[in-house]
Amino acid sequence: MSPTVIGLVGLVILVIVLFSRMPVGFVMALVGFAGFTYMVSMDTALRVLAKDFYSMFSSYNMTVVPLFILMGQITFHAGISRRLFDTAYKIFDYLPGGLAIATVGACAGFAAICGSTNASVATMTTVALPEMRRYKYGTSLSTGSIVAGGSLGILIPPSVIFIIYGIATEQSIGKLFAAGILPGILLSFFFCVTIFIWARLRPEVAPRGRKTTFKEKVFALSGITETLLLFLLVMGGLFLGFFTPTEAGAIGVGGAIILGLVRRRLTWGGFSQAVTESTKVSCMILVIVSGAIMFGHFLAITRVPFVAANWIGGLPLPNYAIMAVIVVIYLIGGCFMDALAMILLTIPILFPLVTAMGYDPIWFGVIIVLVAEMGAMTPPVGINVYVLSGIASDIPLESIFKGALPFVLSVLTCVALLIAFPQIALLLPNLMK
Amino acid sequence: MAAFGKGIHRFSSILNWVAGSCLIGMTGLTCTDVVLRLFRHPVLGTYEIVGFLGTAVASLAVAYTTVKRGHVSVPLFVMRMPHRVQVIIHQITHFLSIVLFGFLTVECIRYGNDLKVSGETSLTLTLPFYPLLYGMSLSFFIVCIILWLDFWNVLRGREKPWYEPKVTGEGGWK
Repeated sequence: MSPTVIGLVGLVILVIVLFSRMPVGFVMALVGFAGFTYMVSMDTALRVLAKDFYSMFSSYNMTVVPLFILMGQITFHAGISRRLFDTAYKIFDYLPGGLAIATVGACAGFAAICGSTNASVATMTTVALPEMRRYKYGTSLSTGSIVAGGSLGILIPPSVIFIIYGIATEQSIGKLFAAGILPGILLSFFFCVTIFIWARLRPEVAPRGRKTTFKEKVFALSGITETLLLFLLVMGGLFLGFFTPTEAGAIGVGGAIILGLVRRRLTWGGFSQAVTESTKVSCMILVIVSGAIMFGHFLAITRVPFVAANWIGGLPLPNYAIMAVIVVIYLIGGCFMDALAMILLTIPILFPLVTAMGYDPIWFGVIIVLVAEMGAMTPPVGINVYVLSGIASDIPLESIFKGALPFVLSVLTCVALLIAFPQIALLLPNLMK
Repeated sequence: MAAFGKGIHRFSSILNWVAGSCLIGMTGLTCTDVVLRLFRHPVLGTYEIVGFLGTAVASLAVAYTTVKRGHVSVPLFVMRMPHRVQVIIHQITHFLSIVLFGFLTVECIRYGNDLKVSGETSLTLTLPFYPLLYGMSLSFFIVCIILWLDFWNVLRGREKPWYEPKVTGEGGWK
């Protein structure tokens, strides 16, 4: 068998074993190790396996992951998202679907200090869903807006997916964070427009809530103070070059703890839960990354990434058509697989191809994060839907998936706009030093 | 066997508590370094210590993450299969995982030994790297035991596949 055929066999085995419910990181490490043993030798494969785990676990660059996760967890336990929702609610109450729009607004704000979609969905399910139920909002609209809003967590910085993509492709994490801001705002706007149209077409699913006075709206703005402070501190320092990403994460954790204590919202129980959850999630991510690195090393010696890149690059198709095919691959893959695992698995193959076609790596990072967002809300694996369903167990999964569908169209529109106008993502990174 | 299982789960929880302490230490040290840098007195070797603490965070949390079923997997198809098939798949995948972590346990020790012999240390504080490899090896060994306990409990019909064991005490963080 030629090395390329061995590589392809390895890929097929990987996909089959992935569906066996074996942890994704274990599968990638194991198949990579077995392939490496077959191609080279057991001794070399063993050393590569240990080195890959050691290099990822001990990498200074990777320390940014637990820090940003801890920052998000602390802000979550300090109740910052609830105040954001209250503010957004008072500001948008006059609009049709105002409560759902407020949910998206609060999610966008929370995404600016938390890089996890799950935390956003979990908070908004407990905070916004009871309110929407009280005002007799349709189940699909209310759950769809939470699932969609929560997905903004990985696009608006800080974002764990951007961090991992940046490390895997050796791109600046600061530039990736900057690149996510405008598309994040644009997508939030699209989500709001979707809700507005939905509420206009079917007013019975979004009855008007109570109206607030102008004075109340102005006073409500104080609810975004913590978020704004934390965002300016962390992202400002990072964009201006004061901090490395790891330092920005640590300062963010420090800032979140101080804010939580000053507002007397952060309890010892909340703090300890935040730490426990952060170590668990960080470890899960690092195991996936280490497994993906091992599998990537196996693929590299089989030359599959280069052969695939040459083959796809040589197809008589315009670049945008190839890009559309890549988006479809991510869209289908995202339906079955965790976003992070899918991105890490496909980067060795697709990243060289995309850069060879002349696309900007930072822009591509934004595109795959957007497509990964769709995966978080589409059946059958849409993680956000399961998080919501886990908290509001009386709502059938079908209703949530049905509610998320119009928002998937918004994400697709955003992807199309970014392919047509890459400047939307690249404007801010190009302004950085 | 049940007492041994409880003991191992408790130990994994303690390791996770140490990992959490390292994470807080990492935060504190980095913040201190950033603040002191403003006064031109950075903490010497911060980069190295943070890297060391980061290794501790990731490796010491592996066992607890495994106990708590925290590793991402794709349960979609297996969930729809008959119980008997699920048991078979569970046992095969657990056996493969034990082999993987067994290899990691042994190779981390061998790699650590090599680093010890070559005397590799960090640049600024000249801290040796090999203890990190030994620590990782210990964590991977605990993972092997946890996976083996799962394997054994499902084999004996004491538990359903992919059950989540209860951990008493939670090592102080909860």
